[in-house]
Amino acid sequence: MTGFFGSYLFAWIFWLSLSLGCLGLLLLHQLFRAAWGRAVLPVLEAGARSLPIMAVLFLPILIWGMGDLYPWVHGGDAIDAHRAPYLNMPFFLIRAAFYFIFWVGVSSYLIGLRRRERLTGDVSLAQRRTNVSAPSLVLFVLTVTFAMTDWVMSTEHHWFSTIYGVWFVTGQALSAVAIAALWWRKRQETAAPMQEADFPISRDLGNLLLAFTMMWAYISLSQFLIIWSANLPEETTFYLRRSGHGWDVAGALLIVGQFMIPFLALLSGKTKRSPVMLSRVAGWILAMRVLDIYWIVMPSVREGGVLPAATDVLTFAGIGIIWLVGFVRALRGALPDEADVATAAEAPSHA
Amino acid sequence: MSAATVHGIIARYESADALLSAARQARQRGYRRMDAFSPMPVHGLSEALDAEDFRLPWLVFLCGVAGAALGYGLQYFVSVVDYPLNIGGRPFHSWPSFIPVTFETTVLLAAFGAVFGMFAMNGLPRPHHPVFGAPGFDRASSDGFFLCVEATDPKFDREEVKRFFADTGAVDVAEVDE
Repeated sequence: MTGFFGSYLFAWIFWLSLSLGCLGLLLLHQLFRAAWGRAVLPVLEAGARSLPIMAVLFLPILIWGMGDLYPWVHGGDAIDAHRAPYLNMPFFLIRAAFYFIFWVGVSSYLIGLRRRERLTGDVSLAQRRTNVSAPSLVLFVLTVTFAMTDWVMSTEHHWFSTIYGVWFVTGQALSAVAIAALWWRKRQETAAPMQEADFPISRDLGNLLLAFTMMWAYISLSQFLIIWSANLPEETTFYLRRSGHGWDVAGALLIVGQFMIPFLALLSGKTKRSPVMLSRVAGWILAMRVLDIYWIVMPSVREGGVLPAATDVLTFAGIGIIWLVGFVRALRGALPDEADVATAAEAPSHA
Repeated sequence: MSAATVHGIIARYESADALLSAARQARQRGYRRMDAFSPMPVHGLSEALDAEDFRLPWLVFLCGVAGAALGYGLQYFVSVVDYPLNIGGRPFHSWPSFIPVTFETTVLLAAFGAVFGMFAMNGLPRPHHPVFGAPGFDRASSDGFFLCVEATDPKFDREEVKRFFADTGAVDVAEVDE
């Protein structure tokens, strides 16, 4: 059964990371209200609305998969004993509940406020969104750090890394901007296209993709460089496990595919200005994000080579379909954003 | 034909929006040699003027590549060729530890390329420019939004440009002496 829950964890973490990325950008948007954020707000809200589904999809792991995935459940050595006050089943469950209650709570509150703003025309509610989002953003980064430490890092028996949470936060934001860029292309093609000269949304999204691509590379390298330089046995296990059986090839592919190719492509203003070209880069980045999560999760939960098992593909597709159905339905029901975009042009723009 | 004695015709507008719309109309009318002056960056103005110039981005990019090559090359030469040292039993060519310095030299040379390239391509430092003589031009750094059609423009015609400026809602229109 280990094989199955390893696959399940990988698939669940990937799709969860899309929702969390959307929530992170949703919170960030409330602080800036830049034109790009107004334009892609429906996507961010729809992504965040899949969080309750993801909470339900966590239950199989909690009920049947814990023993297979997390070595600390069995305990055994002095380090496990030392960590037991934190890493134990009841506290693990309480924390998981807290993360999801916070994420679902803050996203429904923000979406609800905007809906009320639409209905009543009370613009003061926008300020309330900002007031809630500022402290929530801090708590968001903290909860994602703790969640990823609990759910992914603790699949490694003794290994630890303090930059791990930020690594995920950045990767999630990268995924979310990529989804927004894909949606923006579709929007430009179907709805009345907006003047790109007036609203350089595509360029802004491209610049964000570039920034998060660089940040992802920066954090990935920082973690590797620190562990490589110190060369301590308990820290190097993570990379040693990923230095053979094809995992080294996958890692090299990530350096080229998730950093070098998007980085060079996004340096060009031409790529960023065209929603079509930008959507291709965004699609490529999303594909690399799948590989990235696979590379982070799988070697810790399953012995063996880099080639995916049938369960990897099936769980990925299964959770993916559930996520996508939820996302598309939320997107259909989302508030339109034309009015917000129009006001962005009237206010002096500093996007 | 005394067109050679003027630098161009300049118009002052009250707002960034008025300047932006005038610049767009000027482009539609076929004016090409234009410049705009405003107290703050105006979103979309460089697109409206079609003043995009890709020489500087390319220069910055090439300087960045040169910086990366120099930074990495220097470390490789020092640690592998010229003075190899055994540090913690690591290989002489320890690429992970070369990355931070390579990153820094990339940024350094790219920034040099951006700043000095911008100065050179703008012809700076330049103590005087004809538009400084335009009446009230100092308002370009407080509340004036200026658009200037230069005399070198193929479609330049003093009276027609003045009429065009008046039609687009300019507050002041003046000739700029060479």
